[in-house]
Amino acid sequence: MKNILLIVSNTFQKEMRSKTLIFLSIMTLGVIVGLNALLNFLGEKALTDIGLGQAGGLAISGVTLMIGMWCYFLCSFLIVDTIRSDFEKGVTSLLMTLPITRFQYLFGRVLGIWCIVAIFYFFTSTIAFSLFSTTTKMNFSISLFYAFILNLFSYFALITLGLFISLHFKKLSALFLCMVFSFFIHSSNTYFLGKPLDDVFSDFEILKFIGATFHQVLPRIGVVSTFAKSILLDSPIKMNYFMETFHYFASLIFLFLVIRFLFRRKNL
Amino acid sequence: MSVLTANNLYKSYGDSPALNGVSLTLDENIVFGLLGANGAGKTTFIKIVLDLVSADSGEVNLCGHQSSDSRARFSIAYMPERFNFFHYYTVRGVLDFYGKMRNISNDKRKSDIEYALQKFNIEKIAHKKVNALSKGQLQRTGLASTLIGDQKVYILDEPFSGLDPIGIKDVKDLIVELKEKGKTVFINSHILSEMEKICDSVGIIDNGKLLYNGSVEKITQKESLESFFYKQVKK
Repeated sequence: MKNILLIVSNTFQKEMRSKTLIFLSIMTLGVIVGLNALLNFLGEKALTDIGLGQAGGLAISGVTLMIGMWCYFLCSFLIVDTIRSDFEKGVTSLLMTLPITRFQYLFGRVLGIWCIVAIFYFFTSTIAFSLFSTTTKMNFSISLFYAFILNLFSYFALITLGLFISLHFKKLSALFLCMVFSFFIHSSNTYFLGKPLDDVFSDFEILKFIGATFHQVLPRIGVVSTFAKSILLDSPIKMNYFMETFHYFASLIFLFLVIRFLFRRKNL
Repeated sequence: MSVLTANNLYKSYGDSPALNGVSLTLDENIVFGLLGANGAGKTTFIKIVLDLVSADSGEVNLCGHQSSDSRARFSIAYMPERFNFFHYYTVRGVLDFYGKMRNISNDKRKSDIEYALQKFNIEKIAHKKVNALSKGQLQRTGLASTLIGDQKVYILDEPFSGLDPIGIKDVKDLIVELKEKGKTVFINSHILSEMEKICDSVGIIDNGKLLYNGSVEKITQKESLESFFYKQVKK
């Protein structure tokens, strides 16, 4: 455990200075402050309280979407960056001569990146909601917090998937593949959500088949984020919650086992 | 008592064999040098010992543990030919990280760091970040990292590479000091004249085969290590 925490803290030191992370943070804060100033202006000059509330809701939706997109991007970018730079600079092989297992190293990296993304997500969302609620006098419910927690689960799976890809591809290809895969998995999950298993594999089409396989084998990041959205919008969706929870954890563990198996055999 | 045992190691990359049935046993308290031309299999051997590369067949035992067991690495210190570490760490940070990884108590870690900094004359650059170091300073930092903690086996890959004459002397002094402390030092180097002076025994490897494994004294009674080495590899 101590070794994992050391790698987590090392990941923090490594990636908290990432120019991409700093740029995205500043840009997101800029957009939030800008939108808030616009809401303020509209509230004073043009809109009634109801209109202002609607505008606030719109701003919140926009900012939530933007933060969610950045988090998706950051999950892929940071894990690819940290793993690939360790490999390319020969640090991985040096680390593995110390008393740490390969699994501890990988898990520490995933956990570290997850914490960074969670901090980014928490701070940007908190600032956005605090500012907007003050300006528009809207009250935000506890469901925001639940959605936040749920989204963190999908980010963890996304980072793990990014880890799998970055062990086998160079930086740019890995980043590209991460983005494509996460989009494809997300779309498949949304498409197949709630459909019975025999429906999933009926009408054989190659793209549908690949999507269905991803949906069955990999953690369903799309289902988790759809669920988070449904909580946020207070519109329940029809799905087997127990099965989905079981599938998420089982597929995540499976993915970790595959990564562990492959990395143990990898020559450093 | 043996601290490192390699049994019948085979490894090939595609069709070209890198190790061809290498077996080696190292006892406590000796300085051993592995000699060989480029591509002879020295680095592959070290990488298999450190479990960075898996052998096609054969096994390695380090201080009572299989090399794949992370506990084995509590007993070894490794210095690569080109030391490179997280560029945002300071020299002191690197040594501290090594100490923490090796699970060394705070007090011992602090005293080991001070000793290692002083031993390799890098106290003045202790605050410098790794990416601001020269090649020689990096090598010294790498060597200093081996002194954090109390290992049984020290594996030094080309330890004289990139060092000035003072640095080379420091390394030789370190090896002597480690031997006096009862440690086993495994050196991989091309500098035969230095190896002749500091090693108790040597192994000569060529085309993945261990051609000779024995004491340096036996060799130097008749001829220099250099001429013996050339005879072996040109046979």
